[in-house]
Amino acid sequence: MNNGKNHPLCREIWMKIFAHLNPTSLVKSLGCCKTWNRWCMHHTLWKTINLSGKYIYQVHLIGIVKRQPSTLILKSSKLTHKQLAWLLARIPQLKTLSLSSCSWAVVSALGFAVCPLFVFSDISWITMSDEQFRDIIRPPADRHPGMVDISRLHKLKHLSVAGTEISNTSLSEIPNHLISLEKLDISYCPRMTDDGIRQLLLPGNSVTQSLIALDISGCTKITDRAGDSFQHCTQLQTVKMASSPHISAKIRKKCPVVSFITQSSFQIT
Amino acid sequence: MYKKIVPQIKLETYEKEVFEIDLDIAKKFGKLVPVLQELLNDDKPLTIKTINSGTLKKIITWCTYHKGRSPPPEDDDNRMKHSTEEVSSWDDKFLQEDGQAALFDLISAAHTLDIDGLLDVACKVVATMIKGKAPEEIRKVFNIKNDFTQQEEDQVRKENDWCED
Repeated sequence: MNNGKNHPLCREIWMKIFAHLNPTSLVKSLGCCKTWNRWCMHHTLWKTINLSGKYIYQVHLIGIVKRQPSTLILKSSKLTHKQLAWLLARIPQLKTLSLSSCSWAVVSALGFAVCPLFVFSDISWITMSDEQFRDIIRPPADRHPGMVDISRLHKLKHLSVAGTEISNTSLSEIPNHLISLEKLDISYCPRMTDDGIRQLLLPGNSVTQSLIALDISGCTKITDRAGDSFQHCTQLQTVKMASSPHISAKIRKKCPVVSFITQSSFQIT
Repeated sequence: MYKKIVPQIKLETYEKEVFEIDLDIAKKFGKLVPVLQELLNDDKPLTIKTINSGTLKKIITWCTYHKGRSPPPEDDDNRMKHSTEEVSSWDDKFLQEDGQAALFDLISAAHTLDIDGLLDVACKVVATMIKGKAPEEIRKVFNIKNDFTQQEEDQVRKENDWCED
């Protein structure tokens, strides 16, 4: 391609063409010549990298860093703590990370100062206790001089901790650190109770002002009383509560502006 | 009886041929929008040396066909889509019927004149020419010289085949 200089189409146009290709075709294209090899590695073409369920080797790590994605999906991927820590220190503009169904040993890499400032994070279906969750959301212990004493997750808008072992203690910690949270999924965390929801949504909390959607499906200890806390929210639009046997139609009356979503398997009476 | 007067602008191509273009079509040429009023008042044509007559004719035909057909809403999700299903069979045939050189001329012209809809659909058509092909086949289609050594080519494959679907 001779840097594209003698070709009828300029680089800008080829980039528009490459934008329509899937990862497989992009890989074939970057094997065509040195010029395309450079162009096809551009981060705008690799916004999302999905390695769900794969074994992660060095070749993956280097490839991810070269591509600088903004979304990285490592759902059920087989990788180590050391690999994730190495990776997170080298993709500073990563916005979305899914570590769903990874082991805690891997997820704990989120607790370090080099962690990118995530906007969306999925750490669902992992074995994670309150203490472990706290280690992630608190300001990192290894912060270097000059770094603000603030959680690396303070920009987080969406968080899923579904299916974990965390309890009310974690819910009460959230307002102190996750000050921009809009969507929270705590479904199938069976230890959560009304009191946890109350502490999460105290009238003065920033989360109470920012929260738009909440999923409490399968939190079997949560009852209609949670509705009192929802009343404090100014932005709350939807609450998902499938398989929540202790929540009745009364909750709708308490919060008429919120739409409550239930699955067909559970009928609200 | 008098004919309705349609405001027109004049463009001169590489071959010095002058085209009269209806205003509502010229409005689609993003590059010309800021100077449209000037062009309407001016009797002298605007010369665009990088565009040949055949290409400009194609552009006018494309814009005329798509007049009144509103393009699908362009949001981030749409842009992210890797599919080329949205190319209509009319567009596909129209863009490919004159061969690759003509298609490339058309894309360059759409880029120069800033005609978003045409540029987008034409890029999708080129993308379909890449899809499902091995590097060697892609080189053949676009006449690309392989400047990798065998060793480099193997290395590139080894470093990247993990991200295939």
